[in-house]
Amino acid sequence: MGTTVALFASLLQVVAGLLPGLKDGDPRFLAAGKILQLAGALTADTVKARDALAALRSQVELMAEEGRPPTEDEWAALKARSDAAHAAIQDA
Amino acid sequence: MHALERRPFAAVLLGVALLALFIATAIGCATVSPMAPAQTAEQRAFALYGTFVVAEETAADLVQLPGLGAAQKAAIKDADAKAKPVADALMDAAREVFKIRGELEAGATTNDKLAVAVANLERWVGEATPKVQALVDSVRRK
Repeated sequence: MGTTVALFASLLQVVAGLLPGLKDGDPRFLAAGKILQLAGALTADTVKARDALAALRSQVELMAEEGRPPTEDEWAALKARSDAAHAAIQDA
Repeated sequence: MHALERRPFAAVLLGVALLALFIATAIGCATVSPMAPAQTAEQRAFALYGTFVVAEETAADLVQLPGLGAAQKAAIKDADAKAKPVADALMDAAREVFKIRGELEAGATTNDKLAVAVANLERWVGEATPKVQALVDSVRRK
């Protein structure tokens, strides 16, 4: 299901990229391109987030099975991702 | 004659956009909770911080979209700015518990000190949860 939705999102973004070039840059096609681009990006981001949460859940399940706390390396990896995303959000 | 019947292109576009919205909503509702399998305070803290990171990464992608309104972008930035310091404090508290646990195993500290650190961590989990949820909500509303 995830792959199908990801393909659908890619297709939306490809079509969105083509629309502004049709009918000599007709404003309606430009607007349509923007709408489809946004719809495609939202769909792709939702799939990406769901996959990331599933991976995190597997990691926590493994910790619980092994009866161990998260390691320093696991914390450091998450912290690096958070710092990068935080900078991107605040700089946008 | 209905407006969409006169504009078949607009009807197709609306249909595709609605389908995309439906798919995004359906996936979003099928929640994958990383918190559920956690059995200890440290594992809960890790799952919560990880959820915060995923929400931040999604937000970072969203704020780059040209179609996103200024108010929506500001709401995401605000939710992230409020959640980040609390989430980092949660992580520091979890790392402290990890360190004290190691010291306890080496016989260098007492169970009391570990109990205080775990209670502090639980407090940060409680503090961070609504702020992480607020960030998740600000992303979901887009």
